[in-house]
Amino acid sequence: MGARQRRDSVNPARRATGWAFLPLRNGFMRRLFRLRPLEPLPYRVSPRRIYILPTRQGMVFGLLLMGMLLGAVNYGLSMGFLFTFMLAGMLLGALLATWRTLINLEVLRVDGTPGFAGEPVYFRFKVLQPGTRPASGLWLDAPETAPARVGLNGEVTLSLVATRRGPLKLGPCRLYTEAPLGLFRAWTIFAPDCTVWVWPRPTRQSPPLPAPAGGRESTHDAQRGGTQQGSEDFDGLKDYSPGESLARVAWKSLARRDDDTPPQLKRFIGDPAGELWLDWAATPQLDQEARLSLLARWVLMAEQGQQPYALRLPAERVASGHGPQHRVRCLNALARHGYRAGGMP
Amino acid sequence: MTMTTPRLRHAEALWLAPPLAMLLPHLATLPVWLSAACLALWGARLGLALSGRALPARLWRAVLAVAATGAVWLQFGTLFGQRAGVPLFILLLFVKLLESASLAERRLLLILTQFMGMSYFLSAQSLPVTLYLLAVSVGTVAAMAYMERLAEQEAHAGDARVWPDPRASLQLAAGLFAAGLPFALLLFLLFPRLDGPLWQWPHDTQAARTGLTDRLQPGDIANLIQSPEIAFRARFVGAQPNVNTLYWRGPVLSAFDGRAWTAMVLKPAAQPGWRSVGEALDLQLTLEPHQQQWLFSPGLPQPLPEGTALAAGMQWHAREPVRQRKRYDAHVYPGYVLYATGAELAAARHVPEGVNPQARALALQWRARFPDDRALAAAGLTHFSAGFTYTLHPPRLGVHSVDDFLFGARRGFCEHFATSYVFLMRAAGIPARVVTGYQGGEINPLDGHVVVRQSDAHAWAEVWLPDARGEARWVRVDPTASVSPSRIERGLEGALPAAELPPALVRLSLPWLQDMRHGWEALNNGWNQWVLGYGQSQQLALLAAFLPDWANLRGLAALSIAAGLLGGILLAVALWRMSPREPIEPAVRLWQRVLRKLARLGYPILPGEAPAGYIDRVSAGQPAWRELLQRTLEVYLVLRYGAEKSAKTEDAATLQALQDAVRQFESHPSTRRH
Repeated sequence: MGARQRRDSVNPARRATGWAFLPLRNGFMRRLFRLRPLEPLPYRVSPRRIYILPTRQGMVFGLLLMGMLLGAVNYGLSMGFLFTFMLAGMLLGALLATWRTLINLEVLRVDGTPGFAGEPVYFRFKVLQPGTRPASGLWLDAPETAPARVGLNGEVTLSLVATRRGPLKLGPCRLYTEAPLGLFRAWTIFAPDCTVWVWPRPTRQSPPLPAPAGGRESTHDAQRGGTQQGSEDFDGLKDYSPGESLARVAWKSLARRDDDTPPQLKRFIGDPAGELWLDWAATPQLDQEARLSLLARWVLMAEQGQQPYALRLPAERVASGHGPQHRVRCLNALARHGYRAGGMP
Repeated sequence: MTMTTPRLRHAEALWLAPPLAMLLPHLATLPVWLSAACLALWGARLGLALSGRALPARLWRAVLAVAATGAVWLQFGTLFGQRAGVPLFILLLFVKLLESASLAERRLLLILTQFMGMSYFLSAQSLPVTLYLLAVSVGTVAAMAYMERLAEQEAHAGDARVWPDPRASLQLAAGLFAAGLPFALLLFLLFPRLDGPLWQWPHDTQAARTGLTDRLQPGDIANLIQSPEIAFRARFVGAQPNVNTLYWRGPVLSAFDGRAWTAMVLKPAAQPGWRSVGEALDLQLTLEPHQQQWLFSPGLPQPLPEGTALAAGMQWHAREPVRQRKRYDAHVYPGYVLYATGAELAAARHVPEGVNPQARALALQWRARFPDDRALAAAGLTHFSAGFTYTLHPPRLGVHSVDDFLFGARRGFCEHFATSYVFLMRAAGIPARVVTGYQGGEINPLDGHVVVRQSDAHAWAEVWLPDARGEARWVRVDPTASVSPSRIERGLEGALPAAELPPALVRLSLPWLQDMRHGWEALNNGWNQWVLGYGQSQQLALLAAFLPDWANLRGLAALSIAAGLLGGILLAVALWRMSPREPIEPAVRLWQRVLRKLARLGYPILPGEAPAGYIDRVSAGQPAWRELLQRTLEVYLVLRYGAEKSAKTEDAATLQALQDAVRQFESHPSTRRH
């Protein structure tokens, strides 16, 4: 049963990164971090949006420098002064070097990979380093994700375990670095406009697939399992629609034609031409999420069964089809259920 | 750490190098057991790092830390102050090595290593030490950078293509230091220096320093003379005196308790008891810290440099003990007349009862024979000129030390001659006192500085004698000169048989070795004078030369803050200008200039428009520009998309052509009107 979480698409276990506590919804904080509601990519890191603070070791270094200065004053150590000031100058250089690691970086794009609720969804980023330097010492995280290191090719993937069906918006992201000495951490926060649809978690066990409905020359009873036997007898052609199995395309007739009409599919007698409808109305009277979960299981089962299927929801229907793209289309429709098309609830 | 490859383990072991390098100079000053413990801990840690075995359990490290603290306490009797605090810090740092495995802990340890390096300046601040410590400091930062890169390497799953190069880290560290150098130098020059300490641990003052003290007991100076340490350096600007004849006057010892002589209290004289005579010498005196107040001068300093005073007995002294190397610039009158108050004379006549009966008897004999004080004093000197031997190894003297010396051993050193002579004078009723200080010195031919060492320590007498006109004043009398005139003329090695010279004092006879020593000492002196000796007065002098209005402490503070900010801003600007951007080819930049100009003239390029089409469109509207624009376009296209990326010279010529075309277009009358 799709136990509905009251949390807002977050995984509490991932709340370890610390900065999630920044009240970024607060107007002052949003202004402080110059955070726009959503930003188009590419996002180029400008100086005004880089923040920098010492790490814990950096603070220890600062305190030790104070101690050194006091020692130099107290014991009148001329070289103590020089040593202390040189280290302080070095520290200043390190601060700017850390800052420089981020400057002019460009976050080119982010692609979300949808997934089922309870499983990880992935956001794949491409970060472009200016000049010829390879990306080094760069990290990326979002409030609910573990930090991920930006690869040498500038690619980095954040993963997030989606707990709830529906749209999952990638919140503000933080690109940060502690290079080169680990004494300072510089970061920039940006909010890419990226939403993935989290599919309903398929039920473990489900009633069998509903019987295909509306077959042309066969009864409802004959349809079940009759797919394979009937496939031998050619019955005619029908228009191809995206997602249908390429195995049935009438390649010969396609080769003969030179117009732009869609390819024709071979139809066979005994096909579930009457279409397997995965229908909201056919699901038991459970709560909404449970019914969606059941439909998700049916989609997977139908996909495994190699048979075209169609999906009918109260507000949306997906025409019959088959194949990975069709499956994604159906699952997305399930994920969208109850939300407006724009993605926002 | 468990999954690391041997290669990674070996590279990671590099972070253990800086602590060892920073420890090396400390080894000479630390107790032997502590040095051994640090080296053993370091070796153990290196073994663990290379073999990849687990670090000892937390309990063991805690036991080690407690044991280390206890051992330091047993050795020094305290845990605080520089004497015990520095060894304790170092030992605990090496114990901490055993628990440092993670990146954060390595960072922390390398930071603490910097602190350990800094603490060595308490022991020495010479040029080589400073250069060494700064070099290790750069290495330490390089190790920090390298550890960061290695941590990244682990994330790249050991990808050999991105294996970090330690040399790159070293270069990075050197770059960071170089970037901070202007900032550091400005602060070094401007950060307000204090003359005294902020606080003091009771034990720190006891850090034994050789030098003259306010007490003189038999054997004190003989001990001092074994030390080749430099007591002070002096430079005479202008007139150069004969250094061999200089008596650097120090503590004046008047009170005698039968065994030891004690210096007169440093209190202001009741009335100025002195007067200068003749020409002054321009003296620059650079004193090594001797933890005492005495200053040494070959005459009467006048006027007195800041922070110094003349106490009763014309004892020149600093107001605070000299705890750091310090320079005084003074006018010194080698000729002076020194008077005395009644109390001073009374003290200088005092002879304790019941000691040295034979010497007293001798003095009374002399008194009877020479009613004139001057004749008596001269007779006393002649007494020493025969039958006495000058030696650093006199036999032990008993309770009646003067008697034992005068009538028994007859072998002794300047302190024996001076104290015996003063005792005889007092017993004869003539006020006399012992003066200690240094005699002579060695001129470094390279920088002209007179180097005075502890081995030049000397003691002589001052006797209250009338001059030719019958006016009494203190007169310097040096009985040692009667026994061994060469001590005064040629220094210690001239006075002593070669076998008796302390090993440290055997002068280098090879000329080139001597030159080298002179060169080295001149370099050190320059370092001491200009770098180490840079203090508040030098700061203020520097400011007075450039910014007279700011030449005070508040000005210094304000300027150092401003300098810090300015340095930071300059650094930021420099780094910002160096920050990586997509490099723009010069040709593109020129082309963009044309585009901007055309846009201002009302012909902005449309999105997606190709250069050729764009120029055609503009030319159609403005035929007057056609020729120039076409030429610009042609050259630009050759530069950008020319098939043969030709030799650089040719490229340069084409670029020049483009530049010319752009300039012509920009200065064309029809484009300038707008």
